[in-house]
Amino acid sequence: MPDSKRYLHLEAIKRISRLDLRAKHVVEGFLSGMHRSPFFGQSIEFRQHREYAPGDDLRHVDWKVWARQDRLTIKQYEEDTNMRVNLLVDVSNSMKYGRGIFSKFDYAATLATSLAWLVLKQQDAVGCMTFDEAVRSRTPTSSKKLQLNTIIESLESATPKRKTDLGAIFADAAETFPRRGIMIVVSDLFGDVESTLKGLRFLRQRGHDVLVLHVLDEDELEFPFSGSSRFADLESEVKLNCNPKALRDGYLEAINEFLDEVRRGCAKAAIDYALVRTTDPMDAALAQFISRRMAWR
Amino acid sequence: MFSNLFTSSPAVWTGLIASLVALPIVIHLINLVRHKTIEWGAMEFLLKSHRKNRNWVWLKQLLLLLSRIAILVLALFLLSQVGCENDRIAALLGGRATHHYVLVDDSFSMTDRDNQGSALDRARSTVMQIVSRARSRSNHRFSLLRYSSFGASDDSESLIPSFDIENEVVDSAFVRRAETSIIGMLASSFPATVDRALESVSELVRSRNQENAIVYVLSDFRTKDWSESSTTQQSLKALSDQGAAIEMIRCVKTMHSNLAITGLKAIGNVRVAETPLMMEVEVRNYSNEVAKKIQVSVSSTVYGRPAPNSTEVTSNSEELPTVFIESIEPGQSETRIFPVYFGQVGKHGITASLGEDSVEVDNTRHCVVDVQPNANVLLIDRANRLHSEFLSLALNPNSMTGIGAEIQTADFLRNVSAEALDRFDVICLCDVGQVDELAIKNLKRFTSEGGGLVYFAGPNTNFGFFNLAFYENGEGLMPVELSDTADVEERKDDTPADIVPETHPIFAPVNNVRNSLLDLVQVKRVLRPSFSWLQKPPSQSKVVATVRGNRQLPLVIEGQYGKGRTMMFMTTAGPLWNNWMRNATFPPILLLLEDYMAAGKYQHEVQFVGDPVLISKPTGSVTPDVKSYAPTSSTDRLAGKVRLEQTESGLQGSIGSSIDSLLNRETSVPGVYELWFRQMDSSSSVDRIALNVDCTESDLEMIGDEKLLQNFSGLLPSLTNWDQFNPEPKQKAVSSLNRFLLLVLVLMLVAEQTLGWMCSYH
Repeated sequence: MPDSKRYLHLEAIKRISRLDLRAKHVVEGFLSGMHRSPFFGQSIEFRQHREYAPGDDLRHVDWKVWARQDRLTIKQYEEDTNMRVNLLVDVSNSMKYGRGIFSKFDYAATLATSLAWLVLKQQDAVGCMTFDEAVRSRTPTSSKKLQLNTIIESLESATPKRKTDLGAIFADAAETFPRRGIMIVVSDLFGDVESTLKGLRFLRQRGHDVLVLHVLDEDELEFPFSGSSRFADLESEVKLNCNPKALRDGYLEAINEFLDEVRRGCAKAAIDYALVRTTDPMDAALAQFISRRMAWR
Repeated sequence: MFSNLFTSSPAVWTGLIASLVALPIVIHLINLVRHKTIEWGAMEFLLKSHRKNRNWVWLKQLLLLLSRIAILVLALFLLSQVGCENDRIAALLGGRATHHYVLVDDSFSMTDRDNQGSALDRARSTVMQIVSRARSRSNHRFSLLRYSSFGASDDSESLIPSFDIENEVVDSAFVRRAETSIIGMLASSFPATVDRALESVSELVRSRNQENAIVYVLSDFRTKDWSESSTTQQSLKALSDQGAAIEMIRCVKTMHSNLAITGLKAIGNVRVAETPLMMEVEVRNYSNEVAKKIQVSVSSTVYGRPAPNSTEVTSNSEELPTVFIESIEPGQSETRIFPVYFGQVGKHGITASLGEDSVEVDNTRHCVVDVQPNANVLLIDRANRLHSEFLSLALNPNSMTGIGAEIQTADFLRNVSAEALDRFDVICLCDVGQVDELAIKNLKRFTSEGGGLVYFAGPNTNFGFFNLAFYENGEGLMPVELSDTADVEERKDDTPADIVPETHPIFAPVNNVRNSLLDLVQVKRVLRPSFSWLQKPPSQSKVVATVRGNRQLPLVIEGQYGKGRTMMFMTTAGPLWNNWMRNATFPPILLLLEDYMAAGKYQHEVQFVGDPVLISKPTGSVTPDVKSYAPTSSTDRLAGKVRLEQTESGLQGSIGSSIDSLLNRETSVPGVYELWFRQMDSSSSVDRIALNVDCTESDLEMIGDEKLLQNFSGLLPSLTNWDQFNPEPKQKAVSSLNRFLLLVLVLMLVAEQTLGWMCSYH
């Protein structure tokens, strides 16, 4: 696991206003700790041998050459552009919440841009869809260099306003991206859990490789409030006057139950799931998620 | 005190409690309104928690609110409890002043002295401590009332208390004034009790219901004053009901021995210049131990006649031989007789004094004797003076007895005015037959006013008239109804004496004397009472001597008519029916008879200090303006003026009877008072009156704490000794309630914090 000090501080990232530059920093930071591409798909073909150098992954040593010639050589592969990565980014009102450096939406947008940068850097195709209760923007999958700008524009133009309906959205995404690929969902997943899981399963059934980056604010996980407070729902008109400390235990119990249910649902459907806190360093979060995925593969 | 605050200012308390109940609720509501708004995404989970915990959260909040209200109310109660100790807080709470009512027992038993000082000294020092207690706080008032500030014998409801200090604000200037008043507070000579003082203070406390009252009773708590008193009990109950705190402070711890002279009077009724007069002194032992070897110092003071246009008289005091009493049992009295001799006419003084003991004022007693030039006896006889000559000779042998006998016939009684008979002490009727109706009337007036009347029988006694005019069926002057005469058999050698005397003052020389000279007297004839009288003599008739014989005929019979004494001799005064006048016992018995019969004119009246002195003079004898002088040890005599009023019975007046004079205590000092009259010829005359202390106050027996508690069960709030009096507010029974409230408050605070923590409001 990479040392956390190596990661970029969120404050530093926050100071970078342009989303593409932000993503570049994140990805560079992320790649500096990785030895190989995180997205090795089925379409990778052999390119050449080269002399083994210390630090190379032993799994890539060509043992047949070693047996014949008694020297260690590394097999190198030619990557193709067949891998299609689609980013599904939640821009509903609940993503607006954030009392820390980033709101959930800011964090999710930066994370999505970073992933798009990474995918495009690997010369794969990447697409993006923003949604709340309906699809707000669609950026078809492409591996062109300008694709990143398009994605950034769609993310920057999105303003969290409405409620979420993930089940319907995921069904829509399945229709939007008919070719099999990797679906990366960046959302707080607030909404009907059954419907959400059903949508995710639907994507899976369509042959997509689904990754869920569950973005939550620290407050939503710890509920640290005190004093007489009025909670106003970001997605509806519901308001609640209460003493938060009195409700904290019940709240934590409810949200943990929700997280458990989501985790179990994802595990059952062979969906990669990672809970990301908006206080986590982005590159670290990215690295943690990707490395876990690689290990799982 | 707690109830006092409640009852005295219920509106304040209602407001306070309502505020304290409302305060947590208002704060809670304000907190609810002053919330911060948080825009929240994960509302679903919050609502879920809210739905699940709603009832429990409400319950906890309600309990928290109630506990906070309870804490505030408890704190208020606790503060109020403190308030009764700390009057400043009480005053702050209720805006009420605290009034210290100090009642000081200044009866003369408070002069009870030991090595550490008198009870009154301790009372003074304790009062100063009370003043200091009041001074250390703000908004305190002070009143000081002595027991004797009321008339000792006046039951008039109009008499108002005369406070030494009345309703003054306690400040530094007050402390200086109070010190002067308290130091100048002296014991009175009255047997004053607490009843009236408590009653007055109770009235004041009731009228000043906006104040917190503390009533201090500083006394020696004698049994005679505190054993049973419904008035005291009622006053204490009234004070208790009004919420006043009562502190009783005992200024004496133990009972000291005390002797008192309880009586001093002349017992001889022949009060004549240059004639010895017998006096009687009575000493009482008010101790629990036998008093031994008591010496009573006696002195006489002879006053001269006042010089014209002068208010001074010469006086000459003479120490008389000391009277010794070997011992007096506890609670008992002993009397001793001693002679005094006055060489001149006038009203002279006798003073008897005991040695020093715990109470000084009852160790001295005064008496005034009116010494006359002669004791006059009127002898009514027939013209031949057959009987009166013998009597006259016997009454004043050698002119040494001071008795002047005047012999008159029965007509004198008819012709003389009733007032003219007043100069006689005794009238003797010798062998008087029928007299005029006017004479009987004069005799009746004379006897009823205290004069003595003696009737000697004789051959001229008219039985019918006697029974009708003198006996009057037992209602008349004489005590016996006559029937006839009876001869006494001549005495033989072996027969007993003719006169058989009973034990009686007039027969003192022969009482209990065997073979006395009286046995030699021969009685030949006597009057015989009626058969009915012999069967059932009247109750006021007393036979003091009988005649020898089987029938025991009465010889001398005593009776009473009005204030005067009467005596019936059933035989003659002269030698007709007996030879007694030739017997040596005749003169002394006759002198004793005169003394005995004159007693009605010289009845000893005891006058106490504080009692009004009544003045009565015949019309025209003196001018109406009278000067009075109170006794004093200094040369400056306190003078007062009295104007006599003309009434039907002459000039009348008094000193010490009006309310003002009672309050000023014109008759408050024991001793001899002088009344100066100006007679019509411009000369002065002086009357003297002795006023003495009432020795009921001399009984120093103290009532125990238990007995007091028993008498005032449920009403006695606090009883302490003077040396245990705490100038600081005491932790009384209330303190236990304080501790309880404090404990409950602590528990409530712990419960509140727990609930607050559970509700996240801590």
